[in-house]
Amino acid sequence: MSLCRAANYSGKRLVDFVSIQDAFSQVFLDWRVLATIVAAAFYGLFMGAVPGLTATMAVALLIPLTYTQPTIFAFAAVVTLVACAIFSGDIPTTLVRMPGTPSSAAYAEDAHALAMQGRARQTLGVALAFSVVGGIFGAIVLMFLARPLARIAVGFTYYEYFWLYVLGLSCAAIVSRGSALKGALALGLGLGISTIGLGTVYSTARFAGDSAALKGGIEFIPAMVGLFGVSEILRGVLRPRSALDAATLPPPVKELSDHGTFAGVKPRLLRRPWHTLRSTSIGSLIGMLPGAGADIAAWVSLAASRRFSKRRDSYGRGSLDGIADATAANNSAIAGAWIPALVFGIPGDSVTALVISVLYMKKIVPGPDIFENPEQRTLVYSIYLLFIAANLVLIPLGLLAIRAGTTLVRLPQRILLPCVLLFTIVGSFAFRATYFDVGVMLVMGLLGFVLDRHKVPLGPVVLGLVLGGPLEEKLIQGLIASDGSILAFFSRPVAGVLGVTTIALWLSPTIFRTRRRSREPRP
Amino acid sequence: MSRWPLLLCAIPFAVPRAHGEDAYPNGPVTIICPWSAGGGTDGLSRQLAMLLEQKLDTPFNVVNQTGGQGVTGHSYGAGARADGHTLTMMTAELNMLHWRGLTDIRCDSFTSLMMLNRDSAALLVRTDTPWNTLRELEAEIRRRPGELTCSGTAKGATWHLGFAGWLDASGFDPATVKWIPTRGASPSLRELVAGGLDMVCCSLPEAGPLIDAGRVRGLGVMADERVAGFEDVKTFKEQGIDWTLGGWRALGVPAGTPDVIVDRLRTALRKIVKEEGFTGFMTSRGFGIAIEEGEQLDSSFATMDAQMGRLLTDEKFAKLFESDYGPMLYPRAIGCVLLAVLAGLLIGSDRRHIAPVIVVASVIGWLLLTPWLGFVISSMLLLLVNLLALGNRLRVSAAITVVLVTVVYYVFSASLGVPLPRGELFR
Repeated sequence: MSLCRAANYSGKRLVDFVSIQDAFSQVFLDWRVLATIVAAAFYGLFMGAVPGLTATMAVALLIPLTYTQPTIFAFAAVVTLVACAIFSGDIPTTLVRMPGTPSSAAYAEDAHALAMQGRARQTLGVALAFSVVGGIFGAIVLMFLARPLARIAVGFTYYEYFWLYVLGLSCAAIVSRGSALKGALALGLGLGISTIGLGTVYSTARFAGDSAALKGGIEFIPAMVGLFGVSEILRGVLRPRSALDAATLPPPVKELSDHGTFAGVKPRLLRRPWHTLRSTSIGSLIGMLPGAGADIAAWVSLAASRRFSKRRDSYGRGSLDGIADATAANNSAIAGAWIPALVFGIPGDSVTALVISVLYMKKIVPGPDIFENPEQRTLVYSIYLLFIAANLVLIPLGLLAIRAGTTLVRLPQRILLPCVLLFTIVGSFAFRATYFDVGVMLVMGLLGFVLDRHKVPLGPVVLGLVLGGPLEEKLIQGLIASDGSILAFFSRPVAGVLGVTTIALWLSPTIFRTRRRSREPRP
Repeated sequence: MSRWPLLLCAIPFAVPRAHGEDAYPNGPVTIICPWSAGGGTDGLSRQLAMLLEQKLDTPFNVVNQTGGQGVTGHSYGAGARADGHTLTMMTAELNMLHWRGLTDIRCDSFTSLMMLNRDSAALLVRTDTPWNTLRELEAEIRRRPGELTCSGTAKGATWHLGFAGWLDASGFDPATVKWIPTRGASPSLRELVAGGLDMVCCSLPEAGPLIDAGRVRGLGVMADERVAGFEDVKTFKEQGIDWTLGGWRALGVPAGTPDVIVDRLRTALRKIVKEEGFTGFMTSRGFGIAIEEGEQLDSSFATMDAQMGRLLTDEKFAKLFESDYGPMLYPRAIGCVLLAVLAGLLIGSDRRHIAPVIVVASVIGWLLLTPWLGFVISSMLLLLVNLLALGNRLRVSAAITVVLVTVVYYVFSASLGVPLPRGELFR
């Protein structure tokens, strides 16, 4: 669409070739830009792999530097580092079941289960390949469909968001390991914990007593690190001595290791292209909505993947299909967030909010007019190209990161587990630099340990924590605006469709089938 | 041989380090930003960190201690060691939080180094609405009392006070426009564009991108003069309404920081605010530059604190900040879901493992539900769930539940005079 728009301004030609050529030479022919991309990729891989350090934080640290540099460097750095950070979050997720970013939490149990079967490298290979596919697809959507999609995205009010969040949460409960009911239990716990402290919609603190720290609420990053990381450490140290001397992950399976890291990629790309297309579309659509993002995209895509899979049983126990679909979705969501940012100046997430501030520093006004001025048009084209370049750079550097990670987990557990513990503490502390968060991490670690023992999935707890606050916000906003009418939540067309879909999902046979299966083993 | 690692560890501590106030700064300095990365306060904090780093030749790191509508960051900042190594980007919420009983931290919990920025509240509407002036909007509010919606931030925060104060100054009941609490200006503006709100109250620079994109229009700004960069937005005073209010950002250190250190920081800041690195940043982001320090700043703080106190303790306004839907509505709803889930789990799984969980969960559920559903219903639920959990048949459980709860209710309530809750739903 932007191309058509460009055509309006460049006269008769369909595409403004001059701008594209300029953009191409800016991105690919300038060694300084390429060097920036590579450096940002390393930085992003590191920030994504350490839980507690987020892509937003990485971008915020870069922003003051970008003021004095040409715009193209700033965007090269931001685009690359975010794309790399989302993928590298999968590495600790797979190897030690500690999600580096909340969007990896959706498939943490799948990925780690596969790693425990000796297929860590194949799993990460699939994650890497589909991250790249998703990232490039997202860039293509941004290029051609930005304008009509942005118009849909800015029409979302609290009613629509309410249903979108409920839909995301329902998907989490359905796809998780074990029965949907245990998923719902985990979700309820996460939502419950999210109500601690001062919320947005109330001026009084709940469940916080007089503690200033509790009034600030429970942040999901230390909670996530505790739930997954610390509980995994607790499980590890309880193993017998002989197990502690063994390598953290079993050695690669012989017959698979012959085919290398990308062994699992080809069959999935060739045999199920429609599944990939569905996943990346879900990612782009959810990613473009300000207030939703890569984490919801991963869950919804995973749920859809499971719904249409013939091997539904493997989900939650180690499904490479599921991982492929979820990673494709969360990476294509990144470019989606740029859609409302470029077209209307409305940030799609915290990273694009920073991007808009950079644009303003450079006297570029995001909005419909961004395509009118040839210089700005060149910049927009170079952003598209940067997305593609970033994803291409991700392939070799991602492989390098996988190699480094899988080498590390050859260390015996008695060495690696304490080191991982240190990282969990640092990650929790780094997020807000408070000791309280380390305490949160510990408590959540114990909770995660207990839940694990009872086969309750942990991923939905994290999503509950992430979405708990926003869900309440949208609910109360909707209730205030409609003077307490529930029917108003179905009064707008998109909200109505989302609401009915969600309720249909609850009542769908999927749930009943899961129930029946979970009941079967009973004597 | 085995002692070598220990000795190696000791090396960093053996290197002599500078001590005392004269040597300030002797290590990295932290700037606490009580708001999240990506917002305006964060941007200003990071810019200052970069400029201070150049002046004082030591790393300045920004930490986003978010949460609790600013309580978290300000509390940590005021409670930090008063050695000049922890600075706080103070924001206007400091004038409000203590009046609302959320914290004891106030402006004087800090030694303020310098006020840097002030932005006035403004009123914005979508460009596809027919309202061009405040008077036209007032007419619409008069025509449809209680129907229009506005937002800009959470209840009881700066922009809400600005908005309610305007309604009051124009002779309306401040509750005549519904205030929808949101996380801040950016989500509010998004809702405004999406059609979920009728107007937004926030600062003009926050709405800059959408004004430029032609999506929203400023009806008036609550300042003494028009704002640079937004010259076509008239002030409230020009439109005959005597009302001004704004937010501010200032840099501070914990109260009790030695004067030598405060002076060093102030001297650096005085130079910085005159340089292009600061002024250029402020103009490009549209932030109003407002430099104040010392006694002048203290008296500004006192004036603003009093203005906020007047608003926040006034009965007419107090009810504005309460929620229409009690704070426990949502936790209770979650509690119900959890109860239903547990009940479901019970029916289909090994009962022995879950029984103790049910006991605990049912009591928690009882606590949450009773004020709402009343003693009878919630107690029946509690008893039924626990009976089923221990493997009793549904028919038997139901019978025991109905009989026992009824008996208990009459014995305790009628005979013993214990006030068992009736529940809000049945009032």
